[in-house]
Amino acid sequence: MKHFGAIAGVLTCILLSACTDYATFVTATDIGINLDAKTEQLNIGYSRAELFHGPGYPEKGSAPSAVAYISSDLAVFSPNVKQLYATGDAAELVTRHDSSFKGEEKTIAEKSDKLDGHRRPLFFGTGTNLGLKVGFTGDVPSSVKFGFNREELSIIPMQRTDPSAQQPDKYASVLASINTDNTVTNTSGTAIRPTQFFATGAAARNLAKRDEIRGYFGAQAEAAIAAASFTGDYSYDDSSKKLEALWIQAGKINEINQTKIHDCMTVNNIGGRISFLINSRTQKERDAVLSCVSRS
Amino acid sequence: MPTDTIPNVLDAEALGRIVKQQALEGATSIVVTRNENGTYNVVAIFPDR
Repeated sequence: MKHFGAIAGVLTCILLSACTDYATFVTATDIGINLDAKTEQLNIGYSRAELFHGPGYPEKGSAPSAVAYISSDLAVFSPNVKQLYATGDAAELVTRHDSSFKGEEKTIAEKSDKLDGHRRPLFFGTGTNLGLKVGFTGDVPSSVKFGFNREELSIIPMQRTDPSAQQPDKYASVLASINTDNTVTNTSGTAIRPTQFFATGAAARNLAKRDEIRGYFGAQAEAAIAAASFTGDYSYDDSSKKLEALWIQAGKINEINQTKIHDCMTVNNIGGRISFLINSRTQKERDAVLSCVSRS
Repeated sequence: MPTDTIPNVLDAEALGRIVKQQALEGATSIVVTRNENGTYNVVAIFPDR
């Protein structure tokens, strides 16, 4: 990816300890919106690179604070872009969540990293490309192409000596997140809404405490649990007995039949475990699996 | 953790069969509660796949 074309040069620099007396923090963003009313084609392009290269302090797991944030609606007409770029104390202050709203839990800000001890090169970077191409017939989308490419890389130094109980390895904090929200409605309503965070050191830890960042992972976990969890009333019949006889023989699972049953559940779009199929799903679903197993 | 919940299991025989099947299938925890009408609710917790 072209974003990391410069990485080779940076990596060369990383190998040289002389580069650790500078902290380099770069963000670059390209946004392009093109709407052709004649061909009824809309193209939205978004490209962003974020890069931090500077000293890490492996004895304490410390790193200088830096934060970058961008959020845009990339709306076809009157696009809005919000952007933030900060380093040092400013990065830590801007990432604090010292809410004083009544009833809202106050989050204690992270202490600044102590930047002392042996310096080693630290590198953290991301590169993102997003593209949306929509063809319209009248005001209705008739074709959609969406492309997404992202790379994240961190090289975080450890202490040169082996870790011990008194001096364990400590990993410096870095954080990068992206949330893309794509809407395809009509030429004026179609948009990509990327939101990106990038942070190092105490700023990264401050951001990691915030609900906007944590909530994303919480929602992901809840969705995964919901997809894997099942609830249903007790239901046991002759089909249940037949499945049970196939699955458990002499008190042990018949692995071959178990694989067949699982495959047939997948074919019939029946999720979950066999015990749930036997004891809680419908007779129709059990019969579908039995029929499939008998053919396999 | 993924869970399977089967409420209103009719009797102890059915309960024993379900619990055995869930244990064979790798459940890490199985919680059984008894309802006032004598039926049972079974909640089995399975490890992430």
